[in-house]
Amino acid sequence: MFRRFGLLLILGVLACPLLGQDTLINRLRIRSDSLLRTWQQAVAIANLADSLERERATIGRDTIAVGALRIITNASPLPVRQAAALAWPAIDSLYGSAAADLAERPYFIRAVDPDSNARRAVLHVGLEVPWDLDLRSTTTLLLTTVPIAPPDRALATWLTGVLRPSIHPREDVGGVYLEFVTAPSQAARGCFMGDIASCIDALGLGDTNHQLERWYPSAPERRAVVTGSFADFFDHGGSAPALRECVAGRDASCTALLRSLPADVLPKPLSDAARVSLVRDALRLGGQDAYRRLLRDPEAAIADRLAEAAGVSVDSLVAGWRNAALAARPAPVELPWWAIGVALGWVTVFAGCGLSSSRWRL
Amino acid sequence: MVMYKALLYTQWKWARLIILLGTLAGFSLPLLSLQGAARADRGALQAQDLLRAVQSWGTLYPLLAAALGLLVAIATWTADHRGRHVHALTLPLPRWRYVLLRFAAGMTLLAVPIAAVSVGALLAAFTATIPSGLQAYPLALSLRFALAVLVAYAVFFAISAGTARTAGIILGVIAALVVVQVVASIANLQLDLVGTSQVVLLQGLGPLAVFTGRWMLVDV
Amino acid sequence: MGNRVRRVRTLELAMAPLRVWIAVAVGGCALIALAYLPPRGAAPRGPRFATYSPEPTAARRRAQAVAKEWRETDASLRLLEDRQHVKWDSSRVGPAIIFRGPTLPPTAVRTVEAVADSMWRALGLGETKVRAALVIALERAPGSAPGPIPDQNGVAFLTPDSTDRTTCMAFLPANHFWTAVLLGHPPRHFEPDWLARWFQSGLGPCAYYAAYGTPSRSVRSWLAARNWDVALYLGTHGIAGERFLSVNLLGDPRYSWYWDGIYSLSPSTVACLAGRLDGCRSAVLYGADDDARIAVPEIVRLEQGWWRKQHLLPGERFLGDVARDVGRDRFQSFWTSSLPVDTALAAALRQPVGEWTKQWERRFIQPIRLGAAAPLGATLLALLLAAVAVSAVALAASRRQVR
Repeated sequence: MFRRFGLLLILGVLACPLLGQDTLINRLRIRSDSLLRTWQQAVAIANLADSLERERATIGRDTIAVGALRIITNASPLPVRQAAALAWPAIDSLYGSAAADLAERPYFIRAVDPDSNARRAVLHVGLEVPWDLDLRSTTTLLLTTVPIAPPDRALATWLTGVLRPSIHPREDVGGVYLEFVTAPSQAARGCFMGDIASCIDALGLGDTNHQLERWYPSAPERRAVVTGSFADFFDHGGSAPALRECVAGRDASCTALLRSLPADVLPKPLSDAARVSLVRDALRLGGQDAYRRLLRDPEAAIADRLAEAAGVSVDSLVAGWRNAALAARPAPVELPWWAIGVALGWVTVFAGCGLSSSRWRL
Repeated sequence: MVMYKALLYTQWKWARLIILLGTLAGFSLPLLSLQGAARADRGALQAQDLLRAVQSWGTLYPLLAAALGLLVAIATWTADHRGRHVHALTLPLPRWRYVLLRFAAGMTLLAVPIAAVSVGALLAAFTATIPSGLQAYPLALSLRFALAVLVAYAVFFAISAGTARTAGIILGVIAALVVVQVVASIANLQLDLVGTSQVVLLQGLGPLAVFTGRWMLVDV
Repeated sequence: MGNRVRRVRTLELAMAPLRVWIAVAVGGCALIALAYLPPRGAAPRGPRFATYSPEPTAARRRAQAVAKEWRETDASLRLLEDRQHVKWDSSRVGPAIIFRGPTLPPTAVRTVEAVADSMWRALGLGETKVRAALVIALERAPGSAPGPIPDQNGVAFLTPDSTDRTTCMAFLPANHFWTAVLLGHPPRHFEPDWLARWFQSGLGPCAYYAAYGTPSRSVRSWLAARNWDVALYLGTHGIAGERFLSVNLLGDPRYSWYWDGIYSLSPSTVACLAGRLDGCRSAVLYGADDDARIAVPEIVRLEQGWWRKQHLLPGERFLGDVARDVGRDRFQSFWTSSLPVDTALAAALRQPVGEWTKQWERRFIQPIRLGAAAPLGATLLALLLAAVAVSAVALAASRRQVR
């Protein structure tokens, strides 16, 4: 009897921690469930509060409509209407029929006192902008914050961001020309020389296997990429000896270092700006519905999506884009007419100073 | 001593406005840099913001030191240059001694703004509410300022004492350095004269390193 | 007599304007002092750019706070549940692996287990008294389970306690990248040892429990008070390979943000970076004086950006380096010592804690300069330059001729 009791006692002592753990787990489970319910309620309230906040942001505000653009803003000297009139054609020409959706996605702009010490209410919706912004800056603001729905993940990753209207179209394409001739990559160089397959490679539109070899096929290119973009990064710890070997000209070390990087970190031969300019070309060629076609199939390859949007083959699209970039070659030396006048003016000023010096007075 | 007093008096007459303005600037710099270190109920900055403000204001100390050294050195030699050094050479004392007296007189005058920085730094450090974990370095700052003023004054004293030919040679050397650097860059030669000069003169143990770095009246 | 009077008069005349200048200087300084002493306070600088981003509403912030609390509770609950059901495979030496989320193919599981075993052996561990289990939460599609989206940075550890003295659990969320790797779709250029490094950094305190057993009360209390920031990594390299020590995240001293990063740390941490003994000692012994209550269960959570809140840089490897330097036996005696932490650590190191830590810190960073003092060498060179300049002028003046 006593033995049985002793056994039960020992089992009880041993089971105590486990029972304690079960109690704790039960307690945590109850708490987790309770928090989950609280969270669901809190989210519902937050959604309501956000929607009320959006409503509140419209009360007592003007709605400016230009094209499909809707701008809800307070009365101020900020030149919103004029800026919208300048921005709308650029937005419309880029997104085409998709720009009509902007009527459902208004800008909320709160023009505020430019004095940074002035008290202002907490901003929950939209943008806060000082009301002394000029027309050019306000237009730029509208163009860079177009409330268009973000693209799918694949397109956003390829573009490294969101597609926006160009503020300086001519300079953007001129920049692509500079990349053609300066990028330390045979793919970019081949594209410049007219090889469309190289262009497709350089833009990351073709086969993405062996990208390092495709983009930077020669040893000097790989060394330039390591020393130009990653010298500081690799100059620590275990990679420092490999970096030194790479700098000394050992290609295997350069290749190993570049291979140790995640694929999306490898510098692109042609920058994001080049990719964006290609998409803009595709949308321009494709007409009103091009943007919708571009977004239609997120699973398709980017090259196919661009071709679908542009309504031409990807080779034709890239060839046209390349020709446009070559045509936008920046002028090597610019001498505006007023610069001659300014130079002569300064010569006169300094000559006058020299002649009126006291050293000439005997 | 009589000669020193006479030189001091003449230099005082030439440089008194510079000294006065330098004194006021030197006195106000530490006070301004610690404006954020007020009591908590009077808009005290957090330690990080305060250190950032002190660091920003700290860039003005070496500028003030260099400006004082330059202007007093110019003022010291202007009259002698104008009189083609005739007066100095007719004085009954060796020329090297005349130079040393001129230098000492200038340094005596510069002691006033140095003292103003010290007093300002001490006052600011004692009246400010410094967050725990931080401490003030008024003496180190004053010493460093004095050293920077001394170096700036000595260098500009030497340059100002020279003839137009000396100034031309110095400018020529600097210009040659720049031209060689530009040509080397164009020719893609691995030659960084400007960067090397910067490192040698301004960083680490360079003779002008006292001007660079951080001039923190308050730090950890 | 007349001459003497004339001399005094001349001196007075000379001194009169001097007094005016002195009065102006003193008066000016007095006015400045009146205006600025004691310091009046200053407003922090506002943002430099003109446009400001919207802030979430109070209701949204509350929803986010509840979500955070739920995530923590859920992670604790899952860890406790998993601890009850963990299955130990006697054929393996490494930590048990528990996957949450999408089911992995058997081949992928075997690969992961093999990597974990080799990582375990690389740490010098075999059969251990305290066993570790890695709970890997794979990324799940939004909306596929009730509740907020899990935090992909919320690493957590459940240390052994009275209910289970031999199991240490590590919760390791796999983000998009690691989920793809584990599901057998690694990105191009994926290096095989990355996975082992990830597991190693994910073990955290569990690696110490496995290697050295349960720490003494004083050591445990010290580590709990500082959220185990000095015992996060037992391996020989940094938290994610040699290049990624937390001290490297400070960046380049030439840029202003370097000092912003430095000053965001606690004063003793900064003082240790400057090579001060007392700073290093305080940075290491932070929390050693507190008799921190160790919660049951003790769940150690690493918040996102934990390296910005460290009391010692690079603290994540501090005890790992101590263990390597002093050897297993001495570290074991420190780990299980009932003496106060400073005494036990100094005994293991056989030198004062501050001294050893100062030398250790120098392996990673050159001591930073604090305060206003110029370096001694630069001061001497500056004085030499001044002396040379003045001597050169004196020499040139001696040879000057009147033309």
